[in-house]
Amino acid sequence: MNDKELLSLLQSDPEKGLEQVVESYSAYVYAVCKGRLSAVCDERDMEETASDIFVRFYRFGLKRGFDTLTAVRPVILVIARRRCADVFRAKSGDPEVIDIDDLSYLTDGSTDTERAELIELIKALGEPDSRLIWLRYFYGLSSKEIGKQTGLRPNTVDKRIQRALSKLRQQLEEDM
Amino acid sequence: MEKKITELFDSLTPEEAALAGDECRIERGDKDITARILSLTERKAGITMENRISHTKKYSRRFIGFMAAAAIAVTGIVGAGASYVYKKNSASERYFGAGADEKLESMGAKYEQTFKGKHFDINIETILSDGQYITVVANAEPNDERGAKMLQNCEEPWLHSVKSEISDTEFDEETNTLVENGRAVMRWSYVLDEPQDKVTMPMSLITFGIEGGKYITFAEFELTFEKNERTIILENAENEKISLCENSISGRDVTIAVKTDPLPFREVTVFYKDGTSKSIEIYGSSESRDDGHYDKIHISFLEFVDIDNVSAITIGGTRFEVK
Repeated sequence: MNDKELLSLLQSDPEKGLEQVVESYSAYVYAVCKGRLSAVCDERDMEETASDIFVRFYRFGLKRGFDTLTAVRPVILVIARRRCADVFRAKSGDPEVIDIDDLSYLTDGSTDTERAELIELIKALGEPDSRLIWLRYFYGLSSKEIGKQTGLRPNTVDKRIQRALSKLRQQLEEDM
Repeated sequence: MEKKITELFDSLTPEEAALAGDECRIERGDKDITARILSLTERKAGITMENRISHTKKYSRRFIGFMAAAAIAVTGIVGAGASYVYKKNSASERYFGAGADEKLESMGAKYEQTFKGKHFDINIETILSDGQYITVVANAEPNDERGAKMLQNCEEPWLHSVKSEISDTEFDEETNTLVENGRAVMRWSYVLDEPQDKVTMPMSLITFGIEGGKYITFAEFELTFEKNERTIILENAENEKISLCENSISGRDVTIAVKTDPLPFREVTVFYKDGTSKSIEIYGSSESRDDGHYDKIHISFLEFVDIDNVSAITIGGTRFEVK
């Protein structure tokens, strides 16, 4: 199912829609959990965190209306990243107080020009480099894990990421 | 550069994430992990009932495994002595259908007992037993702000019996919790290894604390289950027997012809003596081997069956007759 079909199903039958969302995006969410939390969580905790992420998405959608969303994947990914950051802090004993119910970042609606530009620059790297950047820095996957995803050897992954970073740095400097 | 990219992803908004194309895709997922995440998600979202058929066993096995960690993470335990009568409510209708309260009353299955716990009071509403399949319907009401906050934070509590940790049964606990009207409504069921007319189970009200990342016990108490359901025996063409009570089927060494792969138990139909039949809504079931054989079979319902008037029952493609 694509995002449009998922959103349509979530509106007509939220429970079935949630099931399909989990089927479609559990690999994404679990990848974030694994990449961000494997140092502080076991597999069971990561699965718990992944399920929390889907529940948050679901409750957010029920509260706000799934018709207000234009896509599923970006929302799921953002919730996943933020939730994993919270869990990591909690597991690491960081005393920072987090408002666990704050999902305001999902309705911010703003696009920071600088960040948007960086995303476009990453995109412009082209595959597989753009994907390697996402897998390493968004999901936090190791070179070995990225190799499983992309079919590249781990040392090739490392070299390509280093080259991609240099390219991004150069382009940002040129733009300034 | 790495720092800049990390900061970008840390503060990403959905609108910004949408700017990314397919380069953020993940291609290879593990089906077992997906199944477990789905099961957990549905339970937390309160929509497990229809889908318990394919997930209950996995959940049960997993549950047994992680309870050892839960024992370490106990933060507050209140004994069974702190109990009192609580107000009547109707959570049982959610798990047994409209009019269930009256039926339960006639069976002597209605309870009104509360155990005070840390953050939550646990109100026992219904206790059922056919001698082997035991069920509790209860609700947990927050008794402080922390409890209320935990419900909002998907940290709703559920019932568990530590006894299941030492059981070797293939089908242990069924648990379902959903949050409604500011409380957590729950059903807990368990299949005893051997039939017992009366059994006392040590129970806990627990949750997974998201912030602390540990299992938390809110209350510990004991519940006694006395047989209050009747059963009838049905037999298939191979002379294999199953036992039917008002809200479940049990049996050993039974082979079921799979009718609707991969969820054969979505189709359980009861045939009555007056010629009518009814498709039964399923709460949970054990899983068969690949050949459809069950060393131990158990299927629980979300409604009551009038066992006095049953003539036959079909499970998947296998028919069992009252002899």
